[in-house]
Parts: sequence; C-alpha cells; structure tokens
Amino acid sequence: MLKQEIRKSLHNKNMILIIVISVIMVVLHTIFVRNYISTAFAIDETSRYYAFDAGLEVSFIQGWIGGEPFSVYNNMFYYILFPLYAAIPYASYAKREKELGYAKCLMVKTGRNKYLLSKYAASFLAGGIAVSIPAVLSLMMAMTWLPIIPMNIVAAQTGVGNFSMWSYIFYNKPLLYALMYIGLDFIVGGLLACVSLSLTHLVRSRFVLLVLPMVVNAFVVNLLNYVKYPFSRLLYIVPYVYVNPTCLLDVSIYDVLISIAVLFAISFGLWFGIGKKRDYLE
Amino acid sequence: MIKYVTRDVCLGIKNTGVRVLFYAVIIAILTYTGTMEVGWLNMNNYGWAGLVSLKLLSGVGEYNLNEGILYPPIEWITMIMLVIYIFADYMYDDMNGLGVQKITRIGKRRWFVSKCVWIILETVICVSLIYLIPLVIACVMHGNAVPAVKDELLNMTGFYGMLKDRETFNMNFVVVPFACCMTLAVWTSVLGMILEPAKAFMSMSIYIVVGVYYMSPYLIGNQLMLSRNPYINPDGCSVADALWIDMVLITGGLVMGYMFTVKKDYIEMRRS
Repeated sequence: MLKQEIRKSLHNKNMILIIVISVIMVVLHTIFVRNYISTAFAIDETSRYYAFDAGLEVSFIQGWIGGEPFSVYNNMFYYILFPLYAAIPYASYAKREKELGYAKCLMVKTGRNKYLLSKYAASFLAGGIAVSIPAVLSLMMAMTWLPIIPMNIVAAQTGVGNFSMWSYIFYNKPLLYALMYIGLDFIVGGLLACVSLSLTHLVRSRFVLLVLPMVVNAFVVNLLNYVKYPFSRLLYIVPYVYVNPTCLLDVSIYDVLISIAVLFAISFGLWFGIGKKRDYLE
Repeated sequence: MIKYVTRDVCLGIKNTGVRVLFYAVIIAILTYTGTMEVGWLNMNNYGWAGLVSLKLLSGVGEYNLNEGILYPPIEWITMIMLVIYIFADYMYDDMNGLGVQKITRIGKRRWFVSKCVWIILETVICVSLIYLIPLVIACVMHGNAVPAVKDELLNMTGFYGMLKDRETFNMNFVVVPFACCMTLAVWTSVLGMILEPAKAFMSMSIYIVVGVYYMSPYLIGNQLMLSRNPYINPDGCSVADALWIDMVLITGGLVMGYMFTVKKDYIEMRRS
C-alpha cells in the first residue's frame, strides 16, 4: 500500500508541473544573479549593502536561491509560495479519492490504519521533494559557475550574522550549511503538505485545502509583526520566517523544533484523530 | 434572466460568503495593526484615508537593486492574495457541480453572464471593504472620518497632496483599485475554470508579485500600489494607462472565459 501511494505521489502531472516551474525559476534566478554580479563588478561601488559589490570573490552560496535576499525568486516565488509548492503534488488526492469513493475501497481492502499512514507518508515525501527540487537545482546550478569557497567573515557578505542559526557552519562549511537547510526545508515542506492533507476532513473545497496553509502563513506573519514581546517571539516559529536561510532574524534551533512539533501535532492529530472516527462508508 | 442572476447571487453568497468574511476580518486586523504601528501620531490627523493609503494600498516604492534588500510588502501581498483566493474556484466549482444542470437548462451564454454579474458584485463588495473597515476603525479610534489628512508624514510621502486633490483622490484612490481588482477577479475565475483553481491562484500570485520588483503598467501589481502612482513617483503608472490596460485585460479575460464556456463539452466532462 505504501509503495503504491508513494508511486502515485511522485508520478503524477502535478509533480511534473512543480519540476517544470522549478527549472524555469532556477534558470531565471541564475540569469538574474549572473547579471547582478557583472553589473556590480563593472560599477565597482564599495559602499553598497552587500559585498556582491565590494570586489570580493563571490561564493556559490551567494548565488544559490537560498543565499541571496535580493531577488523576486528568493523572497516571493520560493518562500512565500512555499506551502503551496508543498501541497500541490499530492495533498488534494485524498479528497479526490474520497469524493470518487476510491478511498473506501482501499480502506476495506487494506485497513484503516494502513491507509491513513500510507497517505500521510506519501504526502510528506511528495511535499518534501516538491519544495526541495528548486533549492537542490539552484545549488547545483550555482556550483557549476561560482567558486566553491567559504565566505569572508569580516566582509559581511551575506545576511547570515552572529546570531543566525548554524552561522558557524555557514562560514566554515557552506555546502554543508546549504544541505542542512535543504533538509530542513524538506521536513517543513513535508509537514505543510500533511497539514493540507489533514484539512481533507474539515474543508469542502480542494482548492481551499491547498491554499489555506499559505494564506494563514502570510496572515500570521502580518499579525505577529505588530504584537509586543513575548508574543512577537512567536514570529520565529512561523515557517515563512525560518525556512529562508537569509531571513535576517536570529531564529534558534529550538524555535524550529517547536514549529516542527506544532506542525506535526496539527497534521498527525487531525489526519488520524478525525480519520479514525469518520465513517467512510457513509 | 434576472431570475437566474438572482439565484446565482444567492449561490455566490453561500459559496464565498465565508471567505469574504475572512477577508473582512483580515483587513480589519491589518488596519488596526496600522493604527498601532503609527500610534504616536494623532488619529485626528491621520484619518481613514491615511490608514488605507499608508497601510493597505501603499505597497512599496520602486525597487532598486543597488539599495540592497527589498522587504516584501507583506500586508499588501496578503490583501491581494485574498482577493484572488475569494474568486479562484467560484466558476470551477459550479461547473463541476450543479452548473452542468444549469447550463443544460438555461444555456451556456446565460450561465456565463450570470456568473460575471456575481463576480462584479463581489468585487464591489471586496473593494468597498478596503475603504469601509478603515472608516469604522478610524471612527472607533476617534480619528478623522473624512479624507483630510494633515500629518507631516503623509505630506512628506506625497499622499497628502494626492488625498487633498479631489480628482486625483477619486481616480487613484477609488477607480484604479476597483478596476484592478475587477481584472484580477475576472482573470482568476477564468483561469481557475480553465487550469484548476490552485494553479490559477499560483499563476496570478506570481503575476502580481513580479510587479513588486519590476515597474511596468502591464504588471497589475504596480497599478494597485499607491506608492507607485505618478503623483508620488513620476515613473509610476498613470491613471489613463492603468484604466486602458485594465479594460483590455478584462475584455480579453471575458472573451477567453466565454469561448471556453461555449466550446466545452459538458456531457463528456461529466462522464470523465
């Protein structure tokens, strides 16, 4: 059952759509970074904010989609739409199968627990892979044309500062840092896809279950920008903030772990809690 | 015809009413946080027009790469995404539900027209909420209920002049946002019907968000940002350009939707 679900989650047209979007986004992003670096070096102004411009050698980690906070691709296309990328490949299939009556056939054949667990695992995997594809492609692309060198610590070349999460690794082993962030994005993307999946039991429309996590994410960021401490600290556990390696906030690993635990509790609780009680044969 | 339009309006209220309420609540929260953000200012000087112009429709000034990072105007993006969210699956859901029976009974053209009527009405409601909710909040906070804004901050940013000039106020502050939201609503609904709602939502979001980074009147996001109107930014999108582009886009969207509705084989769709 699990094998079949995973095959379904990875071999569908929505996953192909995500791959196509990722390739287009990564190519455009690389062109943007290439143009930006050439322009910056040609003008040679040292007073600009980042040392893309200060005549220092640019590392591959600055040309990666998660390593630069300037472009539309980093801020908007990738990290704002992050929950949507995660949900599109497979999260809405459970709803469709329920509507078509396929879910109850599977449940009768394999058992309720097995069905629920397989769906959850397949959604997690599909969501994780969908959000990791752009990051991995972009990292590979950056490594093909930018030198694989560490950053100059005193030059303030990027937004990763003393208090940023894993900053020690960033300045010593940038490739490991990028891979760790891709791993983190994989987990968070997978859990966000599972949150969408768990909404199958609660919302009527498939569109709503795909888009709602993203809308709520954006709204919570808005809201928490204006509340006072200690509630403002809650901003750090919103996925939009910490999945971006250049988020410019001092997010700690504990914030990330709390957020992951919350996402897991919501998705697992809703999916299994309601799924076990619901009468699928009705 | 009126009977079907009325029925569609009732159906629209039933289907998207909750989302409009959600949208209203979020607008209220965004506006209220706006009053907190500028709490040191006197609300008497601030007024509802100031709340709308600085908080909801302001957006962000021109993006210059050399100045470094652009902090995305997240309030503005949330508000616009909610407009798309309301409309994305309205036509699609009906077409895949009771809509087929309705089309069989009343014909494709009438079905499409009645859907468009509801989209126009709902856009009016959504755009009105952008003005009404700040008005209520301004009154509750003992602010100015008229668009007379005297604050130095507004004066400095150019909003004061814009709000004081009645004609500019009407055009930039009311007509252009209405036309833009109408364009967004039509295109989102039509694309939702053709592609699927989630894909339509994603495409429209990307189209809007690109406008934050690149200044062009063809990217509708620019028209919706008051910071980028020619009163404040001479390179911004003029009202005439915005209205022409919106009219062309709305017509294009309606024609595309109509052609799709007329040519679609509903019986085959129902079978599949």
